[in-house]
Amino acid sequence: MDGRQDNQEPRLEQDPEREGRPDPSQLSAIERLYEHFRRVPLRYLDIFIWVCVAALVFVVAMGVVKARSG
Amino acid sequence: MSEYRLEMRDVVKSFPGVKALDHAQLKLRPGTVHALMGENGAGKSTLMKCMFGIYHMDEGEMFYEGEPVKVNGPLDALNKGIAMVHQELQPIPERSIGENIYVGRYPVKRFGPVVTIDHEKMYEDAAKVLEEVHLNFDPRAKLGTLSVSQMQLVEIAKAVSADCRVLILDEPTSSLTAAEVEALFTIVNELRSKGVSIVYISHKMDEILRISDEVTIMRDGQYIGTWDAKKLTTDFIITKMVGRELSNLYPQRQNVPGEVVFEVEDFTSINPKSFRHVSFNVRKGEILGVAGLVGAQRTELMEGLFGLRCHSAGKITYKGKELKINQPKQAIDNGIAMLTEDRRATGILGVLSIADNVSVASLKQYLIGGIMLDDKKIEQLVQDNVAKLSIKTPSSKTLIQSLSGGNQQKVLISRWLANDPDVFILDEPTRGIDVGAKYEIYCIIAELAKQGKSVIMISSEMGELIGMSDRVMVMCDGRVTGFIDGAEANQENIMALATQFE
Amino acid sequence: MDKKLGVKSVTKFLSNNAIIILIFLLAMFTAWWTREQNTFLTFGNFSNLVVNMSPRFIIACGVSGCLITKGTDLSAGRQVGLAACLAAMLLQQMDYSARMLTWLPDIPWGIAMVIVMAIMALFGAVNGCVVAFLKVPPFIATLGMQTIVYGLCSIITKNQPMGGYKDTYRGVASGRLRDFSIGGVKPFDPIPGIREIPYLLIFAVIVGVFFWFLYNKTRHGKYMYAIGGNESAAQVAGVNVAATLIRIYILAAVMYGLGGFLVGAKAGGASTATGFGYELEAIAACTIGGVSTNGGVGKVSGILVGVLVFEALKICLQFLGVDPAYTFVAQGLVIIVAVALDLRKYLAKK
Repeated sequence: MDGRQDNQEPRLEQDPEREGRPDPSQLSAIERLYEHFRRVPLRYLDIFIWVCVAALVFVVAMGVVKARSG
Repeated sequence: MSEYRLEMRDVVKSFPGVKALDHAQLKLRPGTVHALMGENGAGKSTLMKCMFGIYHMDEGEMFYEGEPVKVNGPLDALNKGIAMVHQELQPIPERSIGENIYVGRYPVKRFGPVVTIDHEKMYEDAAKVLEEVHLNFDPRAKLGTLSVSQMQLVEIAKAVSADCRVLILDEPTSSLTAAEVEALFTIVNELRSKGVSIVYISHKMDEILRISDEVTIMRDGQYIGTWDAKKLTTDFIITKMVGRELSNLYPQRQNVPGEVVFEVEDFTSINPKSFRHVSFNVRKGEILGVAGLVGAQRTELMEGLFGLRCHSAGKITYKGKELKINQPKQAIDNGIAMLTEDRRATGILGVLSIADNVSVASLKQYLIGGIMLDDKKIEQLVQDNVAKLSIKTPSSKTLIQSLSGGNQQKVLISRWLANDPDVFILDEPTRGIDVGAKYEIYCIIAELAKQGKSVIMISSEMGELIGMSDRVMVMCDGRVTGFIDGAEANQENIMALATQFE
Repeated sequence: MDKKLGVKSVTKFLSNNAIIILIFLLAMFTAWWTREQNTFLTFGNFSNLVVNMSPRFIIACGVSGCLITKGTDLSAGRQVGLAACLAAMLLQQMDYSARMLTWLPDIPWGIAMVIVMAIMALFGAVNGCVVAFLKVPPFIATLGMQTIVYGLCSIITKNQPMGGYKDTYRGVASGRLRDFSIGGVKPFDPIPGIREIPYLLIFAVIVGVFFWFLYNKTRHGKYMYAIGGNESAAQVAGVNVAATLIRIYILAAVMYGLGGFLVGAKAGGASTATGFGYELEAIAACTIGGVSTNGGVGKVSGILVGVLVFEALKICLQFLGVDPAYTFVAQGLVIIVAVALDLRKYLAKK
């Protein structure tokens, strides 16, 4: 028992870096997949999204151009 | 050359919201068994994890054989001759015993650029190590074939195999049988005579007094003192462990306990290591505090009563009627409510609104035509509770996760009140809540008792237990060790019962 | 400070609705690009959009329950296919040479529809039980079901494509309110505007209203959101998690049944290939529409938007004359972006 307890401090004093992480058994398959990306800085994800959007625009443009000429 | 093999001075370590170590210290002499004692949360494990390199100290210094030293991680610690046997085992059951002992530092063979694990040497070394600790397991056998206590002995062998000069044992006997404890003590004595410094963390008074040379006591992250073990008594240790000033921020209680309404007899878990033969009763309008160390299985007991865990034996009687509870729903239908320990994990429905959180357990009451939900009635319920319990929220549609801990707890209490239960089980009701909100929750609890409800309150805060309970039930290692009347309860007698291991 | 808030909230709006904005821009572009033909912004085209969207919307509604409870249903597409084939078997013309069930009497399409939905409900029940009682992760359970359903479909159709439908069945997909007759009278025929409403839209509207009611005004809906929000907490609060999950998967399957029935009617034929990949689009549509993998969140209006976005994408690219192969790639990219944005939201929150 202790005089000061905080919901931040785990009962068996686990490694605090893992504290914020949800317990893997509680997550769904998709969330477990998502957790794998936790280390990736958001910046990279944003860049990826922008690249995909650019690709999308490119593909549509290509399709239109091909339709025009074909 | 210092007389101490290892010294830690003025160690400070903080985590978000809590100062785990507040200028803690430790001085280890060679060839001694040094016990480290304190309540859970006193900082013992944290200090050892700093020593072993799992945590980085915010402030403080460490000296090894008189020289200042920095430990960068467990592997570094092992290389420097510091080994640790953790409280929580992390075994790899599918791999062999030998592999488990040498995980992370397998002996290798090199064929030019190709490096492979030298299995023969590994098993040879493993056999030798196991022999040293008097264990005759086949190192090639799968670890999973051993019992939990045997696995713990292998953990100890692993630490001993590292040829260490400092060995940290964190609650080493928690899963051991009496015979295995003796075996452990033999090993410890042998290591001591070889000059190894051993740190022994435990709550078991008799073991400590038997095996240790010196005892250091910590409280609230601070260093209290070090004493010669031969001169100590259990009472003295307990006094030093708990001797803090308690604040008096508890409301005046006006509840008058009546007749017994809730009785539990011989309640035993299907897990033999969990709660067993628990018997107690609660009266109408009474607050029964439940005290115990972490691991005393208090939460498990209450979860068992509520239907979240299975029990193998036992009877629950409520107002004279026997109850069969195998699912939370059955407990709820019988008028029992439970506020769980970790509201983030098993309490709040974070992405849902306050209205949803309050009403989810009582939706049956708000139906139009048996199917459609009456939003107006639900809104009324929410507003009533917001007023009654002073819940601070912009609106009933706010997501509960944006509320403070105290307000979240109040929402959860409202959820249960909507069913008008007679028995309220509260597991650490004020954990993670600021002081002001704590007082409000105490007032709510007092009011519940005044209205004649039976309240069972698990708490790890001494002040709370003493300040709020009419009676205190103390558990240790899954058994009930005693009951203390509210008026007579104090930190010492609670702690004495809480450390009464068999 | 105000200016900063403005920029921040604009970026937030953009990222939350990125795909919707993109498709909207695409639609504007298409309208401009084809302005000479003047066929894009027509009632006929809009009607076409609505008709294509309706079965997809119904299927997406079915899947949404699984997604909200942090599960998934990868068997949706194949179930749609099976349903279409079953409907085909029940509703072929009596005098069709390749009629499958020669012993079957002539059944009204309404009865056939109910039969198909009832049969699919069984598959849903199996999915639900496996997920709820055997605790198999929905991803695996429905993946297995996907293969089983496809196999069953192959068996019963003997891998032959099916056609020769009754006119009344085909009429379900092509009909409009003006065709609706009771006792020889066509009540909607004279009403302008209303008479043009396609039957398929009526189906979609009924399903939409039903799901809105279910999700917002019933206990089942609240329990569903509770389980999605935090299954352990829901259990502690006394929610019967197993029963709710089974209901969800059964309802989903019934929707696939209805969707498959309508898809078959629209296509005029069905085979084991029908419905292939539909779950991917349905899940993506839900994700675009705000049904997050975080669980516990999702609105019927969002599902509608998501499905519209996908159909709009297809129609725009069709009007632009883009090669179907390119369309596939574009669709795939949209799905990837939708998932990536969802992932981003998940990581940013925690």
